[in-house]
Amino acid sequence: MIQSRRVVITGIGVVSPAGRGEVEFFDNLLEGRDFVKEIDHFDASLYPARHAGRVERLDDEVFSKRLIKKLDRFSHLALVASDDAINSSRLDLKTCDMERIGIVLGNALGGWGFAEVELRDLYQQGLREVSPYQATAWFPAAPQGQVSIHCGIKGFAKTIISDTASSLLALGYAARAVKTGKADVILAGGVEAPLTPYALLCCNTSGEMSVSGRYRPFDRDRDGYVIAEGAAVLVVEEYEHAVARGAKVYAEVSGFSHTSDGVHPTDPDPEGRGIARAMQAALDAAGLKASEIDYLLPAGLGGIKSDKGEALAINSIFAASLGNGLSVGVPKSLYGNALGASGALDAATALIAMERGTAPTHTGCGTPDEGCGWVNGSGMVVEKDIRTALINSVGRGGVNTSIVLRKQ
Amino acid sequence: MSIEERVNRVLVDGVGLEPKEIIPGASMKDDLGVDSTEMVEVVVALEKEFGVKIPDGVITGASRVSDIVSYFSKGIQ
Repeated sequence: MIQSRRVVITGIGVVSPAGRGEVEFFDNLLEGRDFVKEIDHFDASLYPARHAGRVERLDDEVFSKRLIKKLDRFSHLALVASDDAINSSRLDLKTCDMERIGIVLGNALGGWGFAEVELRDLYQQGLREVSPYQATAWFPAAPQGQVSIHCGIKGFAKTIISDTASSLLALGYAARAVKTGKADVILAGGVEAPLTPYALLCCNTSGEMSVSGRYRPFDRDRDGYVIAEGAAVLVVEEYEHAVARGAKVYAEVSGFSHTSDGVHPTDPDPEGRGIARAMQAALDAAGLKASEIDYLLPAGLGGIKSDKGEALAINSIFAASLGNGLSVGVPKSLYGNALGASGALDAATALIAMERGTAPTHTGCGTPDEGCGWVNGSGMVVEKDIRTALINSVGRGGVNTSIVLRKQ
Repeated sequence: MSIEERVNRVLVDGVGLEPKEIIPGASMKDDLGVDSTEMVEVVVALEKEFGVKIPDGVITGASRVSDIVSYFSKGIQ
């Protein structure tokens, strides 16, 4: 009985530097607009890497000032994206058994915007100046908690913390939980709000951020990723449950796998063996050959080592279809890498691409590195029937995850 | 600015209550829904606003807005 359960996506909520909601977000990707700019909401002039994609406007008439005061920005982004996802799915929570509704979100850094201010006040003014909400605002599972409270979710709930692999892992685990009967619907995705003085500093000191401010995955002259903030939440639903209520089905989550490199504390496997295994296992789980994938969204971290390894893996898995029908894109090169939310944003991109029959294939790449000739470069859009997509996310410490989406 | 206006400002700016909610007879917990954590914020914010240390138990969830105004109007240290 459990094996017959299928898992589909029935709603999308996106809050990103490239816009909010399916239409605005995707239309901006298709236009190839550049949403990366130098950080100006605090003085980042001394930071080597100081370009970012920021959610410039967060129009929100749902959540009160009273609530938002108690939260870090990342919880606010998650609340808005979750609300949008539920509205997108037309799921009426009032008619649902809320013990069968769950939430799995990914996040990498936690709520540093809130925490930094409180730490400053602690050291400068003393204990009584620290907000009583510090503990509940900062911790990485805060968005999961706040969304659960807002929606009344009583079911399966987790927060996945795995660097830039967090939200794709969250999506995969959510799909697995629905497939194995632990829930009928799960809000799955990720959120990140890292554009704060301390969080930005931490990311700078990793050495993986682009100092040039140009996010150019697989480019010969790439120098790292450009950071971003954002949230993407998908409504992951059991297929019969979706059909029974007449839900629109974007695609099925038909394959999910994750592996570890086990090579270095922070660097990925330079040969890309781990991500290759993850991609192959996801394809096997989906019952698909690599040649049957229409649209590939690599993790594309823009690092010298990470891209080299991922490119080797892509070349080995997709040898037959690269340059022969497979469209490849890293559209997040237009708005930045939202760390713990990046995989979910990529998944949202893939789902909308399937819906529209249009694949954004921007990568920000000007001169492809050796072995990356399949990169189309910026400004490219491919119109075709997209029935399958494979998305990669990789995280520091050698975490690799791949998901296959398949249109019904 | 009057004592009442200063108290109201603390409740609006400090806790995020809506100005129209703050009426003299409103009780912090039952009418304004101020929970225990918010009460910590309220007390600390009032202490900062009026430059005094408020003894424990004097301003609580059971207090009404008018009680708080009275407390500071009497100039109790």
